[in-house]
Amino acid sequence: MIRFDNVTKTYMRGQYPAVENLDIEFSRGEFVFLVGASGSGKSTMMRMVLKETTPTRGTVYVAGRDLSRISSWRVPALRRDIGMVFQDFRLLPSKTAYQNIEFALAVIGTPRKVVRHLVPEMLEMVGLEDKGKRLPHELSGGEQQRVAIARAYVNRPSILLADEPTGNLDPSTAEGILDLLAEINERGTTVVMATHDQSAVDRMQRRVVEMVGGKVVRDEEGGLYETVASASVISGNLPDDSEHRAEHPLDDPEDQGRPEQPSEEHQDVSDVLDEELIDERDAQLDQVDDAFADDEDEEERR
Amino acid sequence: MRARYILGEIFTGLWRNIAMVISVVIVTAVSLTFVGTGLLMQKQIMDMKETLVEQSQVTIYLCSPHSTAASCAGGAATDAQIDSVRQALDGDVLSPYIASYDERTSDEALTIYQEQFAGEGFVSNFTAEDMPVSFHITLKNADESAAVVEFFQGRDGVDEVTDLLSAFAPFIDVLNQSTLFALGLAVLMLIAALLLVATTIRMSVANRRREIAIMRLVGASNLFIRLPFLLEGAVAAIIGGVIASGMLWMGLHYLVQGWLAPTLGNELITVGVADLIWAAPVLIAAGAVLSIASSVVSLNRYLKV
Repeated sequence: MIRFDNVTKTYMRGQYPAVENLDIEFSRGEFVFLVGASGSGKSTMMRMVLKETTPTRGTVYVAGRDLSRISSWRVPALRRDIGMVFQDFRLLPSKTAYQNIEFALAVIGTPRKVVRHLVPEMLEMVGLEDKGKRLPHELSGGEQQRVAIARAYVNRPSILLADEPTGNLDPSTAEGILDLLAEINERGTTVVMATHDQSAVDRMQRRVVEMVGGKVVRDEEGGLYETVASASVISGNLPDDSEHRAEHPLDDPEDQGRPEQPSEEHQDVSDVLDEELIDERDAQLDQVDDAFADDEDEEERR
Repeated sequence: MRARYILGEIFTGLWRNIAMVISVVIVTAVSLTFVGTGLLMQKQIMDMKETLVEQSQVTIYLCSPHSTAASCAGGAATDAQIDSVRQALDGDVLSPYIASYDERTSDEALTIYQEQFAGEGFVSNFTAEDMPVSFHITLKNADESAAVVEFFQGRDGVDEVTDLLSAFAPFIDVLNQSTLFALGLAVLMLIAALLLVATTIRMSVANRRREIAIMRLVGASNLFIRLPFLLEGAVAAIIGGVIASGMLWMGLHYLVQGWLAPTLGNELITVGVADLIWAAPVLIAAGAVLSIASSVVSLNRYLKV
């Protein structure tokens, strides 16, 4: 369903890649946990699947299609087949739960008759049939995430990407969200969930992929959050050097003598395209915007 | 679903940026008014030149008994003098300039005179002998009247040579200069309008960042995401174009038809409110096209889909 073929992604010239020589495949109907510290490349993988960013090297295949060969005007069609859920829900604050789900259908031109049929069905599936008229701020965190999942699933995508969907929720609410994702998975959708939620991974016992510094260090079927594998950082078996690494560009004299950095990498990162620099700038701008958006939200509440 | 959604988005967009939208409307209206003024002045010039071609552009008046010019010292023009003018007009020297001419005898001149001043008491005091013989010449090229005028000016028996073009020339000159001035201002204002549209779109995009992010995520097409912004700019520009047409109507109705035409004569001033039938659609379309062009450019910059 999703295949990374020797994929490397470097956001900024002279910096360490966000993901490096990634070779992994997720099959149809699988439920995969991506675990690993912040900055280990989980989100970059998801962005590449959505073609929000393109790999510096290597190829990403989604549903058998090479993403680099999909022209920009066909990207929307690709995204209609992929649902995405975020840690911060990303609901439209001025629209009700019903309207938020409706929005996802309306903007791709779904006929009104179909919308009227699909939205209540989705609300029922996520257990919010009586709360469709509530605005996001009138819903609890768990309920907001349910609306977000309904919005992501309403087009019946064959892939659902969830970026720390339980990160902002208390354990018992998180459990409910996880059950919902499991239900969606049972209906045949491939679910890829990036998470730091140990109890979620342990409870589900599905495939676990651990990333460290942009590389897969563990790929375990039916795994737990922690493992005895020696390369696992989150299990405390190896110190995490990825954060330290990310802060220093390659030309930092301190880094020159690092044994685990083969010299060929110096060349690899130098052929980063300007486009990637623009990507990086946009990513930073988005962060700034998000900060503003939060302020806005607070103002609206007042 | 789509149409309703897009209409809704346009209205929310316009309402959220109401101050910017008003400034876009005003700047567009003013610039398009200048454009319209320029267009109408050029139309006036074209009409005037056409009239000149239709009418005889150069007229030679031969001496009448009442002429006071030096060349008329011998009294009314003799038959020989009339004949020599006729021969000169038919001759090889002037043939490159003259398309056709038309001789008006003193009898015909009297008839026209009597028609023009019908009802006035003094008309009956004149006889055909008081009237000059005249030649009305249509030139091949209205701009080359000087050669013909020079040829006949001061000849014996020729009282006066009038050149309609040289009479109109200062007026056409003023109109041409004014057109340049109006178009210059229009270009400046249009640049301001385009930049304002770009800024408005940018603010609109920033305001709706969240919606846009979700639209991209769920796979809305690029055109669908952009259409509300494009139409938002176009709506503002079209309102500007309508206001510009209104201002031109006021100018044409009160200034041109109410004051200029009665002062300078209805034959001279041909533009009027009726010209808005073609000018208004041109202005509104120009406003819409420019604003959409500017929107496309700024959307490419600020809205990466």
